[in-house]
Amino acid sequence: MTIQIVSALFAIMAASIYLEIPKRFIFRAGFVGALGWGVYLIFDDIYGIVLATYIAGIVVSITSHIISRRVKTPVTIFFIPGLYPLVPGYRLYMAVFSFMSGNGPLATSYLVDTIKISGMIALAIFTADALFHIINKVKKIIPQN
Amino acid sequence: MDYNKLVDTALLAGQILLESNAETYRVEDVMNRILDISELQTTEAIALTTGLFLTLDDPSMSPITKMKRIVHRDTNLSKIARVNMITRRLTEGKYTVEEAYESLNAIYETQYPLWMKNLSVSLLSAFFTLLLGGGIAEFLLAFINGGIMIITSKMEKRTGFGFFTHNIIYSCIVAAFVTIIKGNLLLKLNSDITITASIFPLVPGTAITNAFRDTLKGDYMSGLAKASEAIVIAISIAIGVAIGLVLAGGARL
Repeated sequence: MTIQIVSALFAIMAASIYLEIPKRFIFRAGFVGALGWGVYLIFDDIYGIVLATYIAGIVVSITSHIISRRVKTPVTIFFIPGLYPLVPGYRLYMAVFSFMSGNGPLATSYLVDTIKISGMIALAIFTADALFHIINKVKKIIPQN
Repeated sequence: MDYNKLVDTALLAGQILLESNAETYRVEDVMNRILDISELQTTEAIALTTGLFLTLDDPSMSPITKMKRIVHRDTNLSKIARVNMITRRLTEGKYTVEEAYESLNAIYETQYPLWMKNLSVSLLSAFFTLLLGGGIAEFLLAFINGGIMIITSKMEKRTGFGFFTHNIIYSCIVAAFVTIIKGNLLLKLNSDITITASIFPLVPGTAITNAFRDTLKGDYMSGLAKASEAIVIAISIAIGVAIGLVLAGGARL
């Protein structure tokens, strides 16, 4: 598992160059991605892929929000590379492969997994965005009292 | 104040953001903040994925309205960060409108040399095999596939046959290549992991993420546009992989 997390760090750093991230943020983006993948691997064994994606997505989103606030840069910069490993590319491929090898039921189950995982990524992003929206509102109200 | 210049600055900032695949609410927010500097009665900005419109109006003057069609989009996160920084300096009063316009114009296209970007595609694919639990054989094969992608994307730029055809051609080559290698040389190779990792640079991660964020912010037009982009890319990859598997004899129709 250590190898997988370390390679996630390098993979996301390479992805950051591919997506043209500012140079000084490359390592931080890699860190966010590796953290997300590590969390995913841990919870994958316990709760299965769908819930693991949701938890990892929340960890990635919240870490991205915190880092982007500290360095004053748009949150997308850490978001997009950080969520890269969670995007269900493997399931999508397996759905096509199973379909082409004539195993219809298996293809359908992979396709349903793909849709579920995409939905979980959306839900994770929504949760983190809403959380930080509320925190911002509370921060604005408190000093006035 | 030169309102024409202000509108041009806002339009240019919006154009750079949209072309770099920024979220729609961010594009509108940046344009509105620049237009608010004028302190006129009406300032409006709309951004859709394929174009943007903005207008400036006051009882004392005739309205200024401009629009811009956005055709080409390519994810470039450092451009988003630069525009964000310039806008912040402008609204804080550290830049004049002219200075902001000049520095927006001077945003460079790329900050990494070409060899580094090419290498990053190969390394991205190669490390994704390890991330998915692959070994050294998968790592090396995915690294080679990254090289194939560099060649096919160069072909795409020269001939201009579009991303859809490019995705089909590349994923077809990769699926066929990996299946043939597995069948003839390395029987232990995990071809699923290798092919998945090799097509990862094409997978619409940015489009999926932004589609959700736009939709949940209430920008339904842009959200749907980004979602259809993600679906179209996914379909093109699927078609390519399917053709490749059939050609290599790894599957039947």
